[in-house]
Amino acid sequence: MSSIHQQIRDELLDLGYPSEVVEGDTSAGSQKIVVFKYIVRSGRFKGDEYTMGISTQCEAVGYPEVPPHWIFISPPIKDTRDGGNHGLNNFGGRNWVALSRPPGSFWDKLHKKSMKGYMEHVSRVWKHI
Amino acid sequence: MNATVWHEVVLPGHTNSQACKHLLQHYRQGRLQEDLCFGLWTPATGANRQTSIVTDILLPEPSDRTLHSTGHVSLEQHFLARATREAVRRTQGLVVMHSHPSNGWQGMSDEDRRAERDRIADVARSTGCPLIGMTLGMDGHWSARLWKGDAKHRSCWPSTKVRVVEEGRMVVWQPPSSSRQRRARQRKTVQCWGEDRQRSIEGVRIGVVGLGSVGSVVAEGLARIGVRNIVLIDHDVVEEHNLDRLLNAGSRDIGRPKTDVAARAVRKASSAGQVKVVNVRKPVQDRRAYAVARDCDILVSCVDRPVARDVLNRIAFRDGIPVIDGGVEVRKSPTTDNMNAARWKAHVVNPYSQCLRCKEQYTSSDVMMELDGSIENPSYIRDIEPLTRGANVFNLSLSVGTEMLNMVIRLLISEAWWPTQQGIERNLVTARTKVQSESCWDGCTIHAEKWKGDTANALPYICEDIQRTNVLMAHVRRWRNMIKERRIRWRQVA
Repeated sequence: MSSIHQQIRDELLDLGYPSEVVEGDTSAGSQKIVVFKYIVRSGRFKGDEYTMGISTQCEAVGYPEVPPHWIFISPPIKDTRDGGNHGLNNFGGRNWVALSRPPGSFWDKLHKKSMKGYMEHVSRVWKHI
Repeated sequence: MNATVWHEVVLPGHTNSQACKHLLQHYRQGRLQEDLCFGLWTPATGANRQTSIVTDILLPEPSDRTLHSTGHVSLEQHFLARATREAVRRTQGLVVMHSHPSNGWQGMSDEDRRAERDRIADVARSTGCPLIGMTLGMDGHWSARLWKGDAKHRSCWPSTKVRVVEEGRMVVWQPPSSSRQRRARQRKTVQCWGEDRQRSIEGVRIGVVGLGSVGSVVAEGLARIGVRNIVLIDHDVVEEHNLDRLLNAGSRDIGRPKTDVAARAVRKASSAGQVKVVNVRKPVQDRRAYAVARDCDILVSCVDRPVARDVLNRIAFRDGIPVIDGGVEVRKSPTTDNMNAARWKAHVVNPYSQCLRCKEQYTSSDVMMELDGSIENPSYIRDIEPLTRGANVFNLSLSVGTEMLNMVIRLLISEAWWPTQQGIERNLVTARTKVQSESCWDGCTIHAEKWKGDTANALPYICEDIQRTNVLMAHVRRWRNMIKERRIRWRQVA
């Protein structure tokens, strides 16, 4: 396991999310994601539990300078927005929806870039799904 | 040292003013008294240029040097030892700076040469970097040299240029060139800012990254102004849909690399006569293109991709090479088929300004999205991209290109009293102009890299030989088009 995966897992564990690394195939090739259980805090799915995955392609570019891009959700949900959604069947033994929801300038403005900031972004994404 | 490799020194504005204040203090009081101090330097290595960035000045205590009644100054050994220890502690090189009671680019007296070569350079070797010697004339004119080799074979390598990078301007000090007859076609240009500034303009090396609609305007403009060293970087080829905006390109150029078309135009338009064009048919994140970009004194960013912008942003901050960036944004009305906003922006980025990321010209997420291929994916950009993607008109490209050329000129000719201008934004629809002057957000990681040169972390997406296949394919496409055209002509003749 690369140090970036371990760093992301350690930071998630500090926030109370034990995680594992799952590998599967996408149209863009083989990919590893960090997977954990997540209870939605706001929005129309509030209180529901989902399995969430965070793409780790940022490994090659340099996390935490560059944030993760894709958010994986299983079982798949229907997002209100059309663009940036991809259904993924049998990725690491599960069906997912992969949402392109990059944190944009929110990430660049963070004083300390870590999973703590990223999970704030995830929370905002759920609020608007 | 290879003849094609040259050395330059960059002085950030704050170290320049600190050094000048100390070294020129006696002249300013009317006494012809020399003085000295030390500095620390960090390397910034390009394809052919080695740059020494002087990041700090170490000023002497009264007992650290002796001011002689003859006007000379001599260095005490303990000051040299202290400065060397500081350089070793910070893993930097040592610069010795002294003032001379005359104006212009300074030569070296035998005494100065002996002092630097025999006394200081030996001690400075313990830093692991060669000694840089710098001399300051009474008029604030710097000259520099690098001492290389060991005690037995030490030689002086004169620097080709000293650049002082300040917030809104860049002062270029270079050895006097042999005076040559000014060409008639430059007469009106030189009338605007004088011979000295025209020499500065001719002496700088300016890189244009991206030779699309804006880059082609900028490249030709630089050639007409009289810039003699122009670097053109672009991996793309001319396509039919470029022809409405690409200056100097015609239907015969379809399939030809954009840099080739721009190079042809630059040679034709050059008012200086002998123009040197370096043509790099690669994207700026290619290792060679990146190194060639780091050889430039000013970079003009005419790119629209986040990775290229990130690379240029970091070069601006790490190496202190001012980057002039710009762009056009067209928004269409949801109800009519007309545009309801058309804005163009141009801004200067250097370690004293706001970085491109804090200016929100791109985000780190955009970089990630380009690298994972999402930006190119049509299903991905559907409903996400709020702009009329890529829409542009020649007059808007010309406007932003002109704005960027103005900023290049402003950097090179402006006087200290001219107000600094970081950026400008104009709107065709509202006819409004905004002048921008802001600083980076607290904790900006790019700002933290300023003046770090080679010591900053390597950029992970700088790769070898990107797009070699792209250029080969461009040639293949060009030949195919030519054959196709000939076949059509033959059929018409038949």
